[in-house]
Amino acid sequence: MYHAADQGWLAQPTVMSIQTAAWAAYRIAEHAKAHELRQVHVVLHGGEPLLAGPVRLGQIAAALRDNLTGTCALDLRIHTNGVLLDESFCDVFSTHGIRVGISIDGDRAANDRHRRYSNGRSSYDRVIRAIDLLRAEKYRHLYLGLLCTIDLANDPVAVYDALLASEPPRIDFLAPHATWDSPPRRPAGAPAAYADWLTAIFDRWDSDGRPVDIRLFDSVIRTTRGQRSRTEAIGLAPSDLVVIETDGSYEQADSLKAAYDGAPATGYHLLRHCLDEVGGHPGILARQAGLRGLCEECRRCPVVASCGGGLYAHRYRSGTGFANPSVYCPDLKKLITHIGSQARPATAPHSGPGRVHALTAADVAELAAGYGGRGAVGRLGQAQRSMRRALVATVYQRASADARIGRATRERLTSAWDLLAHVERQAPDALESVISHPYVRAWAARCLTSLGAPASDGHPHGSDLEYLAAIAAAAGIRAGINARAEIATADGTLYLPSLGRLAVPGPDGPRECTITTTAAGTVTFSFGAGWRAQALASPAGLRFCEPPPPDYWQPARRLTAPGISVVLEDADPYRDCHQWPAAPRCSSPELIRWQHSFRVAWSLIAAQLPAYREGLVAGLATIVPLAPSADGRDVSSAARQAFGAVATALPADPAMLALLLLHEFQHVKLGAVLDMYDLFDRTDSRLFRAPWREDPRPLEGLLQGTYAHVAVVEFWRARYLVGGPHAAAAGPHYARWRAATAESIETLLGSGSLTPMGQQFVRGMRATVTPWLADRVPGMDG
Amino acid sequence: MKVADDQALDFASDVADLCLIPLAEIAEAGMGADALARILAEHPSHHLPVSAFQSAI
Repeated sequence: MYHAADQGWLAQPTVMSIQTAAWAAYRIAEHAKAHELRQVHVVLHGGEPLLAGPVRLGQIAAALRDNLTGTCALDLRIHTNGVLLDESFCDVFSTHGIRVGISIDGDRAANDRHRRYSNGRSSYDRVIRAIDLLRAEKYRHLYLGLLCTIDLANDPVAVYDALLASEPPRIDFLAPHATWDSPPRRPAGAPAAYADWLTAIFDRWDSDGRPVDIRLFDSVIRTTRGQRSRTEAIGLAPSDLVVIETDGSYEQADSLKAAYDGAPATGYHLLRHCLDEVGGHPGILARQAGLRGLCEECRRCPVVASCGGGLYAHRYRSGTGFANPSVYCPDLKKLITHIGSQARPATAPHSGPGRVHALTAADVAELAAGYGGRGAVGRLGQAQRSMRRALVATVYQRASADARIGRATRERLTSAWDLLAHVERQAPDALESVISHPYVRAWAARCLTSLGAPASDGHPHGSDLEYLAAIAAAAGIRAGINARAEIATADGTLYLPSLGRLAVPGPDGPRECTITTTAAGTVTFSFGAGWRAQALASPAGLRFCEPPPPDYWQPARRLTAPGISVVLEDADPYRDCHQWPAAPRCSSPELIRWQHSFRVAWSLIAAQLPAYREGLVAGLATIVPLAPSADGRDVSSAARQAFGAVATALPADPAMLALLLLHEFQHVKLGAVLDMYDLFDRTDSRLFRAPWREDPRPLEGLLQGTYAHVAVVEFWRARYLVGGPHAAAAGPHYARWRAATAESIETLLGSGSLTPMGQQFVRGMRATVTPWLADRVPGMDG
Repeated sequence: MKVADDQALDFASDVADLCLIPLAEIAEAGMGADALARILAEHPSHHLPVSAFQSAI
C-alpha cells in the first residue's frame, strides 16, 4: 500500500488524535442511532496501527465504547503486522474487547519475501511471537485470525500448512492489489495462476475436512448458493464501509489506493459531515448498484452472482474507470467454477438470499383450527431453530464485546465458541441435538437481557455465560471428537444440556471443571487434581465407569409411550423460568409415577383426541416437573422462551395430565406462531374480559387463553361424547368452557385490533368451536 | 413486519432462515437481529386456573 498509486498517506498524521477519535466515535454513534443499527463493526488498521501505542489505542476504543454504549453493540478489531505486539497491547485489547487479526504470508520463506524491516532483516520471528501471544490461554479470546497476501512464488500448500500450524480461528487470503493499468504478475502460460494457487489450498482444505474457517472459500461457497458474501472481494452485495483517516477525513475503501492518486478521497470530513452525507458520495453510491453497476461483460458472465465483478479497485483501467471486469477475472471464474463443482450436500440446500421461514396456507389453517400436524409444527420448530441459533450467536457476540465481562470468563467464552464452531464443522447434527434443547433459548434470552442492560444495572452473571461452555462440551461429547472444554462452576455442580447433571461433592465455593473428549468416545471430567471421573459416550448418553456412580451423575431421563418419547427435564437450571417453581430432581418412585401417568395420558390423547397427536409428536420434546402447589391445585405452564417444553406438577389423575399437556402445548404452538407473525396490534393496550379469569387480560393474553381453551373444550367434549363413567361429570365442563371460548372468540374478532392474518386465525378457531355449540348437554342448554 | 394477506399461498415471516448458516457467521454478521427484539419482548403469562377441572375427573 505504501507503493500504491495513491500516496495520500504521506500527508496524514501518523497517529489519530484523541479529538479526532472522539469525533469519529460521535459520528458512528450518531449514524447507529439514526438508523437503529444493532451493531457496528470498527477495524483499526493502517499503515501499522500499533504505532499509535497501547495508550492511544485504548483511548480510541474507550471513546467508541462510551459513545455506543446503550445504542448498539460494537464489534471492534485491529489488523496489524504484529511486529510490535506485546502484553501491554494485549492487556489494553482485552480490557476494551479488541480482537486482533495478524498479517502473515505463510512460512518464514514466504513471509520474508515482502515483510522485512527497512534494513532487510526478517520480521518473521516477531510475527510468530505475536501469534504465540494470541494463542496463549490468557489472550486466546482476542485471536481473530490471519490475513495472508498471495505471492505465486510461494508454495500454496506450504503456506496453508504454516498458517494452520498457528491455530487461527480463521484465515483470509488476499490477492495483491492490482488494476488493468498495473496488472498482477503471472507466469507465462498460466492465465489463471492465482486460481491455481488457491485451488491447491482449497483441495487440501476440503480433503482435511475444512478444519478452519477460510473466509474467501466460504464466501465463494455461499455466493454460489445465493447467499451473501462475507468479504468485499467478491459478491454483489452493496459496500457498507467507509474509512476514517487519521486527520478525520472520510475515504472510500483503502483498496482504491491501487487505482489512481486521489481515488479513495471523498472530500468529506468528520467535523463537517455525517455518515449519511458520505453515503451519498458518487463513489459510494456506485458500489450499491449490484448487478446494474457492472459492465456488460460481467453481467453476461455465468458466475457473476458469485464474483460480483470482484473487488471494485481491481476493475480499474485508465479511460474506462471501473466499468471493466476484474483484472483477476480469469482467476475468479476458474476458482468459483472449481469450488462450485466440489459443493458438499451437507450444507447445500438453501434457496436464495434472504430466505425466511414461512408457513403454508394449509399449515395456518390447521393451526388456526386448534391443531397442526407434523408438517405445520415441524415448520414452527424450524423457525425456532433459526431463532435459537441467532440467540446463541448473539450471546457470544455481545458478551465477547462487553468490557464488563471479566477476563477469565471471556477466555472460557472464546474457547467454548471455538469448540462450538469446530463441532459444527465436524458434526453439525451433534450441535443441533444440544442447542435444540428448549431451555437453551431461555438461557440465551436471560443473557441477552442482562447484556443489553445499562452498566448501572449490573452485568451478566459469569455463571450464566458458563452455560455456553456447557453447550459446547455437550456438543463435543455427542460429536465424539477430540476436544477440551473448561467450565467454572459455583459449587461443583455442572449441567450439560441434553445429557444430565454432574454434582461433585467437595469444598464449598467455585471450582473449575475440565472436560476432555476423544474420538474414541471417552469423556474425562476433572475438578483440578482433586476429583476425576471417566465415562463412555454413546447416543444414549454417558456411562460412567470410573469411579462408578450413582451419586454424582444424574443423567437426563425420558418418558415414553407408543409413538412418543420426551425428556423429563429436572436438572437444567434454566428450566425454572415458569410462573411456578420447578420441582427438584425426581426420585425413582416419582419417576415411575411420571412414566405411568404419561403412558396413560398419551393413550387417552391418541384414542380420544387424535387430531392433537401428530403435533405433539412433532413438537413436544420436554416435560418439566413443577413443585406441587401448597393448596393442592394442579399447576402447569408453558414458557414463550422454551418452545417444545411443557411444565406441570404431576396431577393425581393421568387424565388431568393429558388435559394439561394439551392445554399447555396450545400455548407452545401459538407462541411459536407469534414469534413469526403479528396476529394483533401490539400497541393496543386495552384489557379485555376473559371468561376464565377474574382479572381483565391484554389482547395477547386473551388470544392465548382462547386458543388454549379450544383444546380444553375438545378434551371435555371427547370425554362427554365417549360415554361411560366420566361422561356425566364432563358434560357441565364441556358446556361451560365451550360457552366461554365462543364468547372470547367473538371478543377477539370484535376488538378491531386483529391483523388480517389474526382475523383468519381466530375465524379458524371459531370454525372449530361453532359446530360444538349444537351439541346438546342435558341440564346445561338454554 | 410482514402480515400476509388472505390470498397468499405461503405466509412468509420475517424470521431469517439461519439453519444452514454457521454460527460464527451469524455472530459476525449479526444475523437474525431483527427477530431478536420480538423474541426478547415481554409477554403476559398465560396461566389458567385449572382447579375447576379436577372435581370432574
